[in-house]
Amino acid sequence: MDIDEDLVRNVAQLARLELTDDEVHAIAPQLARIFAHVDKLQAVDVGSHDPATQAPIDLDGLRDDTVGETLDPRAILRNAPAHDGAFLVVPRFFDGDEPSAESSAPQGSASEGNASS
Amino acid sequence: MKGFDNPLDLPVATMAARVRDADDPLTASELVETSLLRIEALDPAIHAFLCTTPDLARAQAEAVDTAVAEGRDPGPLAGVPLAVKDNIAVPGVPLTCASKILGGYVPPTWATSVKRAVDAGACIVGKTNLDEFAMGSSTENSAFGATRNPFDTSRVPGGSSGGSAAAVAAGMAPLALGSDTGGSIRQPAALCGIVGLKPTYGRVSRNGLVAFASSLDQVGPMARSAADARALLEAIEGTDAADATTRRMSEVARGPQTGLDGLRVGWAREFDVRDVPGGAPTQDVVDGVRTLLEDGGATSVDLSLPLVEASIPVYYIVAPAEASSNLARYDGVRYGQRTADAETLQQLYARTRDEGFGEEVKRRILIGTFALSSGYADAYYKRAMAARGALRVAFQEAFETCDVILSATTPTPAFAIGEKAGDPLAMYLCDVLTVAANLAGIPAVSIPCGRSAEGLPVGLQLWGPAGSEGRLLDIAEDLADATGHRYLAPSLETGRTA
Amino acid sequence: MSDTPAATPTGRVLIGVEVHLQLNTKTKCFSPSPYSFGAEPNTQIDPVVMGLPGALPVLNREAVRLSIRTGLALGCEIAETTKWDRKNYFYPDLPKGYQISQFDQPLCVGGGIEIDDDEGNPKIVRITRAHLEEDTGKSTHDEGGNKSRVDLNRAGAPLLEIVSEPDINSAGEAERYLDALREIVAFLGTSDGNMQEGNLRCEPNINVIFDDGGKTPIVEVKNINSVRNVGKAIEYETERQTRAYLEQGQTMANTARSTRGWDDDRGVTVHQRYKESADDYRYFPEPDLPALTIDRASVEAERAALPELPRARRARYREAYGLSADDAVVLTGGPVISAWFEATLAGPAGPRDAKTVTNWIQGELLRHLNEHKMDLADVALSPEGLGEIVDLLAAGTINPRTAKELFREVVESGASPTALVTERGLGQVSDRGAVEDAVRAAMEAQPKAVEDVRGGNPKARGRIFGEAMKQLQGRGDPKLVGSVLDELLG
Repeated sequence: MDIDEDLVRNVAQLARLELTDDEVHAIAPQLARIFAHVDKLQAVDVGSHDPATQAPIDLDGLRDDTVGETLDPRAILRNAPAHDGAFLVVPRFFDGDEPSAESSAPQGSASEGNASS
Repeated sequence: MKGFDNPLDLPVATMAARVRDADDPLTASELVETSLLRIEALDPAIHAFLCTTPDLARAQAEAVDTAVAEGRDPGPLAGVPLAVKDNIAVPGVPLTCASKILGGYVPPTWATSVKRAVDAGACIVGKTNLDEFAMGSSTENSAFGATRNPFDTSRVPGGSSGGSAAAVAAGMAPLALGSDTGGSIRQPAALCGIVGLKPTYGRVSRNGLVAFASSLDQVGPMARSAADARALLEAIEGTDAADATTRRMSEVARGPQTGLDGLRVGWAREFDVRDVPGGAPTQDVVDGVRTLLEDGGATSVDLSLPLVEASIPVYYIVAPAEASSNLARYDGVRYGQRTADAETLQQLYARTRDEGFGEEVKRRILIGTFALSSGYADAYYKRAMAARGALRVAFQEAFETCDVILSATTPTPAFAIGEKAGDPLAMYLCDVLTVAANLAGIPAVSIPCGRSAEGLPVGLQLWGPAGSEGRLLDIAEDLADATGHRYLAPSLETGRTA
Repeated sequence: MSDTPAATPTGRVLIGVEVHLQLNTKTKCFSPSPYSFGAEPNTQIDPVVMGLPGALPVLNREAVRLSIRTGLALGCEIAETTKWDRKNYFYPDLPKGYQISQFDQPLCVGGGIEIDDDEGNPKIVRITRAHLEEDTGKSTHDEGGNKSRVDLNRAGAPLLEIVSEPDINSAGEAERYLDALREIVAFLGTSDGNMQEGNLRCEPNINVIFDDGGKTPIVEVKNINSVRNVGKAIEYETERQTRAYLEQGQTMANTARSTRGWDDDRGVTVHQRYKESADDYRYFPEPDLPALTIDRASVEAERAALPELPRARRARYREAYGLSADDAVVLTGGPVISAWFEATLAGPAGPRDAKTVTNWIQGELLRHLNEHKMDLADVALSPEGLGEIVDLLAAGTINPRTAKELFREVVESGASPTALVTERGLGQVSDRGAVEDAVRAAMEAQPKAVEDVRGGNPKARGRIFGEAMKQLQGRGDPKLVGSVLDELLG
């Protein structure tokens, strides 16, 4: 796998990391070396085993639909770096818009977005 | 046998028994004060702790002492000072993961594992240093400075639970909680000359453990002996309604004293480190154990586990892939640090994360994001998961022929601070002897097994089938008796002043 | 008229619908905090919902059960093993940076919903799959300002995403599909299905194919808040895409798929973004949740507990009871009215007359509810009470006027009509002598009317009839009063 700086920049955008040019210069060859090692995996006979890491559970193993001990929401919200009353606050964005005009990175669909606006 | 000048150096069971005995003058408060004094005296040279929690420790000690005075049993860890790796939540105490991005974050709830230790009487003396988000093998990747090895402060303690390992090794706390995703308990335990156990996946709740790679992470005990590690494991293990991946498993209590006679010990050729640069002395130690075991009546079973050779590539796909998702939540919206310089949402995300994460974390997020991305997921993530499934089966088959597999924990003893800092791949390759246990979900424990020529601790690792922690710890205790290798305190210049 | 090109291609619209249905659980999909619409912002949160470090999801059994129940009613196969996956993307109302959803092993597969096409013929809209996932929070935006505000109350609420095949071919069909789905979930009790409150959300995927082999790229329309607006958005898109195709021709197929938002004020869709490549959500199995096996006995128990669904029920009402199409629609308008109807029908001495029962429910009962802005569940009258009125009337014990008065009283009080009739002597006067006396008295009291009737104006008869009933305190047997009046009027 060829890993170049453009690929690193694209992946960084997908991961929402604003890397400096210096960081990209430094990381690209490191990732190239790491993936050269990782590519050894392509030669391994992996057979056909279940990739699931745990045994499945059944319906009895699920949670009852009962309201749990409630924590004062303020105890959670006081960690918020910016808020407006009880709302969390972020820079203005537009439903359905991408946060970055120059990218084609994934966005929440309106199913995940806001039906009320 | 040497006496104990200081009650903090007692075996945990003895320490707790004395605290629980109303007629014995030893109190939880005395243990806690002793621990806090040692931290004050020793930690400036070690930097094992990111913070101490004296108020909390004293309150917990007082509760234990009050319980004893009132005739209630405070539990099997009564008064035992406990250090907690700072990726495990204690309510009201800042949780940093050694990262700037969590700056100011104070968790509102307990991690189940810590809560259970406290319910058993343990007293939390502080939060220990780690590689940022547990990503690393040296505790150098901490936003708050490296931890030093108590045996040689120019060297690393290992990682990522380096702070917990150093705290126990230096005698600052008899017990510590670590977390192990690819060796992060066992490797620093080996490098610091203590016992560190990674439980079977699902034995200990991960609720409140900050996720690095969810399918690999386990919380586990770090201690000066297998018996002490067992005491902590017994307190923290068990199913938890807050963690759907916990499972009921066989008990970890001490089993019958069967000794080493008749034990079937597996030796996988892929774990032999003689040909690894600097690995020959370590392999000599391991081979010495083999001879000793065979002389003691154990049967050696030679194994081949070829998939172990693929475990580093598999691990360095699976763990970063899960990490890239687990660390997406650090976006400056709900908690933690947030960039001061964002006019758009995109800038808020990208700058907060660029400013908040250290280099190694960013590197792994990039590796993982790439490994899951469209067009590459089949070749990397899916293939790695398939190999992981095969590895799990290979271990299951191996354990049909042996009771335990023995290997070194690390190819070489502690390396110098800065030695591998510029070479991430070299650092990753340090994990070759540990990651397979996480990938297969099986337990493994590292125990002290003598010293290198430079006087640095060497660790021996015992691997067992899923659920076999109790048996592994039995064997570890018997092995310590047979080899005579136990935890030996480092000679620290500041000395034991308490 | 100008010349048109040789053949203007004719288009046919293809619509697939994604519905997100919020399930009626007490707690969220993966954590035990409650959720209800309209709560104060950020009060229905917990460490899992907020994505706090170290918080882990634990799946709600009831969310799975309601999904299975809904899936079975839609004719889906229920998976024997299902699992959850992480859908990774960054968005302020998505606290963890990923949504726990289902990728390649959904809980429900296949199935369909029967609707009427535009000609009134039955048609099946096939369902591709239905999967259980968590909802996101909600954001609101400063108009012209620089801030957006995030409320995470809704985050983590259980959603069943139901994806249809592109089997829908008109706005009307889409509306009927959604109405049918809403009706079904109402009968199942699995969701409130209310679009205004957002517990049913719908995103149609729309494109037009033409008989010259060309087609328009698929457009997904978001932010639609009523069934009617789904229809309007489809009508608008069909026209817009057709116009664009006729202008641009077959090159249009090369244009990227896009997302547009519905602007309710202007009645138009507005371009939001192109889906240039497939969105890279980096799905992978959620490692915090083991896979789930669903035993067949549980599935069969759910199947056995399914109610008769509204469409089948309507057909039965028409066939078995001879009800009109309109009556059948009203009486299957919801599980409560349907149960009311069936309970009223089931008299102690065999089924009551369906048409009579229907008229009472359609007439008096629904009128009363409308006048008082009440729900059927709130009235004191029981189906048995209404049934008694029907029986008393049928037996001739009371006359229709008494029956209506009785209804107005017992609908509020819930008292037994039979008991009231006995207690107050409201029984109908069927004694011929008493009726004759009353009619004579009425004729004496209304001489002008008598004269008018005899002079050939039958309309005046009503006045005498009314007077006679008045003499009988409204309890006269109307048939008998009528015949005696006709006799005496000669």
